[in-house]
Amino acid sequence: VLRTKTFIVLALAVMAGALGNVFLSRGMKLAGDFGASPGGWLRPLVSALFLGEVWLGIGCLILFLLLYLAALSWADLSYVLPSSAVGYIAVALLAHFAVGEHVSVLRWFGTFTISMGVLLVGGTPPRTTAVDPDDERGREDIP
Amino acid sequence: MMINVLLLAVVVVAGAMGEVFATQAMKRVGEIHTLRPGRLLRLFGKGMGQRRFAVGLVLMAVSFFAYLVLLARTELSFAVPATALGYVVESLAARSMLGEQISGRRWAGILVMCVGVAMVTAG
Repeated sequence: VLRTKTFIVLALAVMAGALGNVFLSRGMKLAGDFGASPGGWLRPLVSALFLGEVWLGIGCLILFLLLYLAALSWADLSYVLPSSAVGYIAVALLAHFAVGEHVSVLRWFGTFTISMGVLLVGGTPPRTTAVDPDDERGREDIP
Repeated sequence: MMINVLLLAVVVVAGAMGEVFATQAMKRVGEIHTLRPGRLLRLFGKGMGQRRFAVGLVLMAVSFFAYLVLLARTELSFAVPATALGYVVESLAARSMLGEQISGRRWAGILVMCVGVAMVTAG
């Protein structure tokens, strides 16, 4: 049951995170012209704050964070982290199929490689330093 | 292209520095053993009282706005994987500024991610 619950929550988190980036990307492209020098960015940045897509994107990313944190409250980080790796592939799939971007073969390989890297970074000890140098309890989990 | 690289640098470096500062401040606040909203809010206030925490929050906000501009200027399939460089900079900052140890496996992951980001950037 725990496994199913974790899987469902993480699947929802991955979807929320990927959709959040899609909405943010769409919203920011509607916000105006960012092509010019940084001096002209303030106006489109402000107009972005009035776009539904941008807030939908931010909402999705907050939902992602809440679901992710919820999963972390009962599951190991090394069990949860692979879902971040899947997230990169989900974004590439959405960019291709939903946004209509051309994702080159090299970019697909790069995305998979990054996911591999995320998997490797996971599964390392969560704490290698003591919280308080005088607090011996904090030292038990240092390898 | 140059501006996009600079934007990516701001996203990654400001984000990593923000997290380092927030970590330093939170370690001083002490380990959190409660999940009650009221007490969490008070702990947040305690954190905000430290300049480091406030600076960390500002840096994270700068990172997010730079990410928004990056999304406006580049393709989604570039912006999201490119910001995975954040893992790399965060790990290096955690080692040099927080004294955290980085395992061999983590170094390998960092290296693999760098290769992946290079491929995404070149593609």
